[in-house]
Amino acid sequence: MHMFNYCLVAAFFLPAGLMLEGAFEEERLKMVTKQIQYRGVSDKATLEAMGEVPRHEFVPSELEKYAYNDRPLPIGYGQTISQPYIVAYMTEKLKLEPEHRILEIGTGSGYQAAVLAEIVEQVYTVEIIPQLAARTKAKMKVLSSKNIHIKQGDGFHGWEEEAPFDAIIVTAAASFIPPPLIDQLKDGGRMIIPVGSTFGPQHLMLVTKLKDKIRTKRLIPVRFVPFTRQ
Amino acid sequence: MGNGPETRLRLAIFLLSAGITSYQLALMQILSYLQWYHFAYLIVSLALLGFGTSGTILSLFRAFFIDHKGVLMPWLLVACGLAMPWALRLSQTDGIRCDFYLLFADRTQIWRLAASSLLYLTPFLLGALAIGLALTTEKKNVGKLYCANLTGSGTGGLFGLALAALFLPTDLPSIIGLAPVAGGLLLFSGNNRRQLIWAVAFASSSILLIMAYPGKYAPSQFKDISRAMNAPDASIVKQIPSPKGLVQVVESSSLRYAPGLSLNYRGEIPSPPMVFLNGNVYGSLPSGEGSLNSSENLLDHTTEVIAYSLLEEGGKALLIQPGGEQSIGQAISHKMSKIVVVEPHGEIFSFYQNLVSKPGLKFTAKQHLQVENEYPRRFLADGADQFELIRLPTVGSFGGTAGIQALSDQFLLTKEFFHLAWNNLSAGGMIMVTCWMDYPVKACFKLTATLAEVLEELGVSQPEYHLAAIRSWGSITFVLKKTPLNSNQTDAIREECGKLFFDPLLLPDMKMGERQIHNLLGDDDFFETLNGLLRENRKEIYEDYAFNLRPATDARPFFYQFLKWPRLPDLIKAFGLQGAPFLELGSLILALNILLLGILALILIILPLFKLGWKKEGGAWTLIYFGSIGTGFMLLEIVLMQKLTLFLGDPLLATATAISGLLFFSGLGSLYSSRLKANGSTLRRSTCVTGLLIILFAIFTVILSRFGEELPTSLLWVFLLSSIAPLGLSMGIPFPIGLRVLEKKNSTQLTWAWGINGCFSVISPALGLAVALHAGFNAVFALAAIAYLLAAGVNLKHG
Repeated sequence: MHMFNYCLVAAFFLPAGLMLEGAFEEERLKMVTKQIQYRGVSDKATLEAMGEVPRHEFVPSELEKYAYNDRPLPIGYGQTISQPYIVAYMTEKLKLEPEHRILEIGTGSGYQAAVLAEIVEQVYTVEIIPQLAARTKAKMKVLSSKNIHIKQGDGFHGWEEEAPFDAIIVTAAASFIPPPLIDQLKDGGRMIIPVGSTFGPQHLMLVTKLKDKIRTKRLIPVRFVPFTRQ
Repeated sequence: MGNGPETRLRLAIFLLSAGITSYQLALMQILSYLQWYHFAYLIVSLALLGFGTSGTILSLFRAFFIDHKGVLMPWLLVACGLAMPWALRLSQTDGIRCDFYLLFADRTQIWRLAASSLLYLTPFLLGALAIGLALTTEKKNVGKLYCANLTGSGTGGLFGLALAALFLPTDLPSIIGLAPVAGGLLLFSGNNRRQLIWAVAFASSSILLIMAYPGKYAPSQFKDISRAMNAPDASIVKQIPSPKGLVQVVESSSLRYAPGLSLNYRGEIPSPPMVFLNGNVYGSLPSGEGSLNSSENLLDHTTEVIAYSLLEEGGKALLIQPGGEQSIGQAISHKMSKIVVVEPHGEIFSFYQNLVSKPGLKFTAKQHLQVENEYPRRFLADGADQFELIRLPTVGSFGGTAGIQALSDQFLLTKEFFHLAWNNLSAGGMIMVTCWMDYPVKACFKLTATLAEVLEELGVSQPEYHLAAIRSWGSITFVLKKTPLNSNQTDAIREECGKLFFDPLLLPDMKMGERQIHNLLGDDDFFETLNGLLRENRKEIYEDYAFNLRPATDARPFFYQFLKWPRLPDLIKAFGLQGAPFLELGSLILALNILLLGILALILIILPLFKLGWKKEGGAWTLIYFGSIGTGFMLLEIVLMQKLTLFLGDPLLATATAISGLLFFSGLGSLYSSRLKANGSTLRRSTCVTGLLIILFAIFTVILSRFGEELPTSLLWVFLLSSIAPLGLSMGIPFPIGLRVLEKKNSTQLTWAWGINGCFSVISPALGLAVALHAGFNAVFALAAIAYLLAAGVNLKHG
């Protein structure tokens, strides 16, 4: 009787689970075409990575149904998983090559690291909040991501032992850029930082280092145009 | 005064009213700490709907309440007092706790908001039922009871502020709740000893239970303090309650304070103890012995270097609300001879005061540090000194303000304030102000427009020679100089920019291409708009730009109010429905507030009409008369609070003076009303006189604003109280007389009138704030006067 019940449950839930996965895949595809490609992200590797990584696995279970929506979502501890377009745009702007070593400051949900790990050789990511670091470590184990290295610690210091990095991505912006991060960036390296309120419109800042000269450039993914008289 | 039932009732109403007002203030404090000020405002408004709801309940179940009045009255008071701590306690349980910041991002928060509002509403509803029941059934004593209600509310305002200085905000409801409980027990003591014992037992067990399970009160996860406490080694080392907000000092090795630091900086960044005010970063404290004497000041590696690249040693510096030690250290290291720090917040002031006596602090023989606990405008109005540098607090916040500050008045960012600061500059002096770059750009543009208009109003010829600015990757520092900048000075600015990877933004001899050497904006519209704001035809940009860039004035001091309602669809189109609200949260929450309150108030007013009948009972008169005086009273109270902030400097002192002064004199007015005849003529005269007095008061405040800041505080108080007194006395009369007239006409509508008055009183503050934001304070005065004149008008025909 017991066995029969299990079979019944499995027969019911297995197709349901598969259907759900299928639905998520469909939503992910839509996300790539309608939110990311549509707004001008064209880097093939970035688009493939965004289409590959199951974003719904990185959001709290109660928000799974919104995982592919065009917006950031809260993940606890005052942190968010960025809007898919912002993740893709930041990834594209880093001009990544497969042999690159990337440092991420602010692991958060681990989604950005997972996207990067689809493109580059090694991703090093630092998270200050112990609970988030532990949660994401466990998640990465489940997803068998072997080229993502997570460290719990103060992102201010970067990851000196693994420096220098070809690119640095700072997912939680601060009111200043820590000098050690500039030091750990390779000559010719790029650093990208989102600036803006948590759920509000964000713009990105690109920092480039060339022979001790540091330049910044504001990148505006959502171009703000209503300057003209209606 | 005897100890008969009437006296006991008046005393109980006094205690209840005091408790309700104190609770309202406490709730504002608690929610400002746990959430943000304007969300607190929303929830308290919703909770105050309890007053409107009480009118509906009393109307619908009038017979029941009158029949059981003896038993219900004391129990309502006891229940009101006990509900105060419980409402807060239950609102913070896991299933109900609402994070208002997520309101537009997570739909489940709407239900949490509804549940929290319902909980917060409960004590107000219970208290209002008791007051309403007393006022509508004790017909002969209505004037005296209303007096007890108003003076109790006034006393509660002062009492609430005093308690806030002694206890943590989350402890306040338990203490305040004792006042209504005492009122209830007082009523029991007169007539029912058995019930008294039950009430004491019930109250005691409830208090014990809440002491055993005090609950956990955590601020929103998005507040600065919560983020700081996420660091593994973070700890709160000091916590000081104060009526101006909870001050907390947090220490952690990963908390660093170096806002806007140059990318060329390679030195150490200290981890100073950080000060948080109501959960928001306020600044930093000295990080250790001699940190102020460090030769390398961090601010010299930010855009604030601009002023010191122009200053010579030995001048005087005025640092207004410096937000930490760094700007003091910078002034010391640049060998300013006299450094004056003005800090209005008492607790923060004491931190600075400790600096003066700090043994590690080494000044040169000619240096002197002076710390003043004073409102900056009053300090400047005294004009005791002339300064080479006046440094203003930083405008905006990193990453933008999300419209959070839209509703708060900013008297330090109005054009009048810049005039005042200009008058305190020495011959070659300058004002320095830094602004965080926001996106879309709003605050920096409004600040530019403000400085340009001020220079124009000062009649400065060639204003471009008096204004300089430099830009980093995230901030802009402006300098407004009394004498024209010469080429040596502009070269010095350029040199600092080159060293620190900054770019000149405004210089009299600006060269092509030098604005974007190190920090590219990728948006040429920015420079075009900025240049346009400096030209005389800047009004075209005011019209065209998607946000409100008109400078703030003392009559409309809402610097952070940027929303233009007709352009909201553009913003939603550009940033999406999820993102756009976070540009203008303050204004949108206010609009939501008015909408919700309007709908609820309408339901609460219309509902009883089905039972009471509309036309044949003279319902229109009741609705217009009690609605008008409720609206007028609260509009005046709200505008008075904001207007007095300008004179007294401190918003809290202004609130206490407005609420307590107005309510105290209104109480006396209502006491006097028992001597007046209850007829249409009295209603006409009292409302008409009130309307005219409001107009006179508005004119008086305009005159007072020209010289008020220069008056000694004591004289200013005399002026203000003597002008509030007649207004309050007159405003206390229309309500009790109205009730007495209605009692003669149709006593079944008495409870309904109480509800109408309550509903309109609740909508009016939000409405008054919206009008002030978009049309200024004088428009609110005008509306309040119109409301009273409408009440007078409705009595030409009726009554």
